[in-house]
Amino acid sequence: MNRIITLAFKDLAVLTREKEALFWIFLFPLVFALFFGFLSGGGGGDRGKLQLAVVDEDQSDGSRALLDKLRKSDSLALYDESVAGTPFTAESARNAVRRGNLTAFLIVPKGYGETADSFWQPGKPLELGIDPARTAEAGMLDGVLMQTIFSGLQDQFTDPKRAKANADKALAAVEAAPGIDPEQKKLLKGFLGDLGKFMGNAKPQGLEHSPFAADAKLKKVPVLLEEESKPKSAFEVTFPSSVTWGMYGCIITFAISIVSERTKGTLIRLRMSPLSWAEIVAGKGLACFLVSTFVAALLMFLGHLLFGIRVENLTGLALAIISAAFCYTGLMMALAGFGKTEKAVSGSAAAVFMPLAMIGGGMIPLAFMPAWMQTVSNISPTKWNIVALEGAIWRGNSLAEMLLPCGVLMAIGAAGFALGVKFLSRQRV
Amino acid sequence: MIQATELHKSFGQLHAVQGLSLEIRRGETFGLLGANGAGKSTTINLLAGLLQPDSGQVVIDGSTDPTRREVRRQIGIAPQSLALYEELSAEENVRFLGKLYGLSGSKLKERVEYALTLAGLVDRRKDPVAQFSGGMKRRLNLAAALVHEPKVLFLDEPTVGVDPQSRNRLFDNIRELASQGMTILYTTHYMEEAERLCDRVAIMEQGKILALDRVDGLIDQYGGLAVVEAELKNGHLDAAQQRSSLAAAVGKDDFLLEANKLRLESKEPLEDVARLAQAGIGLKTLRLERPDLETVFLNLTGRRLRDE
Repeated sequence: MNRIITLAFKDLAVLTREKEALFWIFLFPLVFALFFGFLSGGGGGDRGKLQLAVVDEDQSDGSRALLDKLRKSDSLALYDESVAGTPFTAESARNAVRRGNLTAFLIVPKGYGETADSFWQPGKPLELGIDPARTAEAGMLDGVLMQTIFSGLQDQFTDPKRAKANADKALAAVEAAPGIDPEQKKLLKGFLGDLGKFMGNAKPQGLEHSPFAADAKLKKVPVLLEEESKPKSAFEVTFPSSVTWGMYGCIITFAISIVSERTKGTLIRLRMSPLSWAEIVAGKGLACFLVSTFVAALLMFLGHLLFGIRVENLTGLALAIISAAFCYTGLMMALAGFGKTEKAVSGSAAAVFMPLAMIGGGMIPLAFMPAWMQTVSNISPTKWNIVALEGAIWRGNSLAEMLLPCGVLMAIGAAGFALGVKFLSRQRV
Repeated sequence: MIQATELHKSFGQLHAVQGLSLEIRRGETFGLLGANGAGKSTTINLLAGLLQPDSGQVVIDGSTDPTRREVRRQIGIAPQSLALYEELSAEENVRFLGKLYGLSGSKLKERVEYALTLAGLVDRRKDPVAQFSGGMKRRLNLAAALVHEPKVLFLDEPTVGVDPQSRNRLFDNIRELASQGMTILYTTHYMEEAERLCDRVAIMEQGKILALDRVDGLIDQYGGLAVVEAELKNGHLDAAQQRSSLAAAVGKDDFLLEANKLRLESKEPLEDVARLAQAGIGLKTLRLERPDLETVFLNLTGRRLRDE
């Protein structure tokens, strides 16, 4: 065992002197995770919300109340100012949406507040701008706005003073309005008068639990697992992907190191030493396994430390990392067995593993792929690597659920080992 | 110490070694002299157990399996290619190999010091091998083969690409190792190296040993006659008188004489020169050309070693 460790540590020492290899194994995956993480919206915040430019032309209590309610919505992120820091105007808000900087804009017109609480006068319409092609977002925005406006009306009936004032105001308007059918006028006056009296006598505490304060007849059922199994930030997606690229760097580096031992003649020294062939292979594999494990653990640690990546299942994460490192070590062996020269190894790696990484979600998240490609991605170790890591960090998978991806990774690794040892043993000197 | 019997090794259509037999005695420096592609490296790989012969047998120190660990511990090898890790320092290279052979602690330290001192690299021990000259790398290549104190040393073209200073240092190292009783197998295509270093030399061509003996034995058997070339002092004799006096002096007349220039092939060149002097034949210039391994190689193969 000492000889295997000696050989593995020699390889690690050599690796620390190879700046190019260090870049591909450690730095490139980190840059990848950061670049695509920030490109996809960064570390949470307004990511996943509908981003709405707002222009308050009214500047009334009513308009401010409406916008305050909208700001409290989990679905919306409101922006009063452009990126340059200047308050949005109708034109600049429209441009921000047209350029795709924000999802939609909302203009609260002048005079909105005067009629916002009115039972009688038609209110000034809010102006909502959104790309017609974004039907799903437009529908969602409609719903959120209607809910907010209804909620404003609802507030009146939980505030008796305000409701009485509005009822009295409406009663006066009805009396003054010409052209209303006398029968209708009588009915309206009766209703508004009774409402004014009722609200005048009502106690606020009593109304808080009345049907006026009730939400719509909709029972909200929190589905916690679904809620928890969404990435909270883009980094929870990009860091698992970056692990794949780090391990890809390990594969190439260590496969080349095995081939170099042969082409540079140092394999003769190893073969002439008391090391058995199995010990040489084991030493090489151990070095690759250790570096793969380290780079994966380091990336996940940095993601956790810098961007708050969750670790829902620490044991699962350790299992995922070990399985992935084993898998990629086996693949490294196979690659070294197939390639007889350094160029052949790097060429084969690019030709085989790059497409596998691509279709496995190494570049584009699996969720964004069409269904058929998600099916095809099952052949890629990258997919199982990412599924295992995501399962441990934010999907909150149990150990039982981790067995499938980790088992697939182990099986691929074992197959790679078998192939690699078989081919390497044919070209010993 | 090393015995090879009827070794055969082919790579596809190429018969690299064909029926090679030799015996290397304990403490002997044995040279394998041959042109590039003669089969020298394949022979070393067969003797070291790095290649399996198609047929034939190798016995090293009584063991018929050179791949056994206890046999391998007795063998050091300096391959023709510089088998070093260029990213590591000289000391790290030697230390790593020592550890592979199970050395540790003070023994490892002692052997690392020995190897680096032998290679003359103590002052550069911490420098990466990539920064070394060709000669320094060759010396380290030799030192790396010695760290585990082997009894047998295989040196495969150890002076390729080496400057004269480093070459002389390597020669000194090899002589020192030989004087300590190490058994050395030395392959080269430089005849002067074989002449200077080896107790016995085998001449290889196309996977076969053409001749095997001590250097002087090979020259005696295959080197042919020495050549004496001289320019005679211009005396009062005419050409015919000159020729007859020369023939009388050396006791034969199968020499060339043209315009006072003599070319004489002889088994005893020094004695013949003495005879000329005794006969009063004055010489303006004299050149003696003794046969060497180059001549032996030429006579055995029909081509010069340096033609490669």
